[in-house]
Amino acid sequence: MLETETKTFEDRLPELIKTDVGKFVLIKDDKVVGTYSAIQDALKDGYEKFKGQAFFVRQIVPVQQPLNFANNHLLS
Amino acid sequence: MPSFTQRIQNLQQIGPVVEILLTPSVPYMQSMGINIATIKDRVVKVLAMIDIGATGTVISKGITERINPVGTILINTPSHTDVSCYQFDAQIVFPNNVAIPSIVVTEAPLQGQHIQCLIGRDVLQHSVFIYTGYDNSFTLSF
Repeated sequence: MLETETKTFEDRLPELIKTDVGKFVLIKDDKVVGTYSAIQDALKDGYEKFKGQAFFVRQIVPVQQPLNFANNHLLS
Repeated sequence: MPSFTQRIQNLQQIGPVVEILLTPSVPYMQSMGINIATIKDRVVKVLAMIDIGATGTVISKGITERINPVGTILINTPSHTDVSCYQFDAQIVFPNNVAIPSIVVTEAPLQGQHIQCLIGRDVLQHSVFIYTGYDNSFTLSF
């Protein structure tokens, strides 16, 4: 699930950085649906447009930082 | 200021754990026309640990079977790097009805313990977390 959307995000990131850095992008399949100033707005639009289906929201930043966890029970 | 205090016997050994309720986020339920007052079958009670070593909040796999993801993210742990995980939009309800109506949480395997959720710094950034070791208690205020 979301493989197409993840690839679309990676492919479109260079152009999104030029125009919408810091905003949140909403992607469904291979289409960029929109960009939003707040993540809540992107999620709300995704729920309204896709009615419970999976979609992809991610902040547009030049370097995608992974989440870090010190808890050694995670994925151990 | 909404808050709750938990007292845990042997807080040092067990850690700052608290029973929380997880539901689909309030914006999700509103958009889907789900009556928030009648979602008992979608409420999951889990044991969560306050974890200042976690960038974001994590939930165990399988908790969110009935909602779809809203993204993916890479995570690093002490034993793995750049693991792709799904993210879900959830509501977290702490004791005293202290609620976060919408927060994007990451789904990952939590093994070897009864903890099913790590409350990370994405939640803590909006709060005051007081760990009172000598009293075996902690307080979270928003």
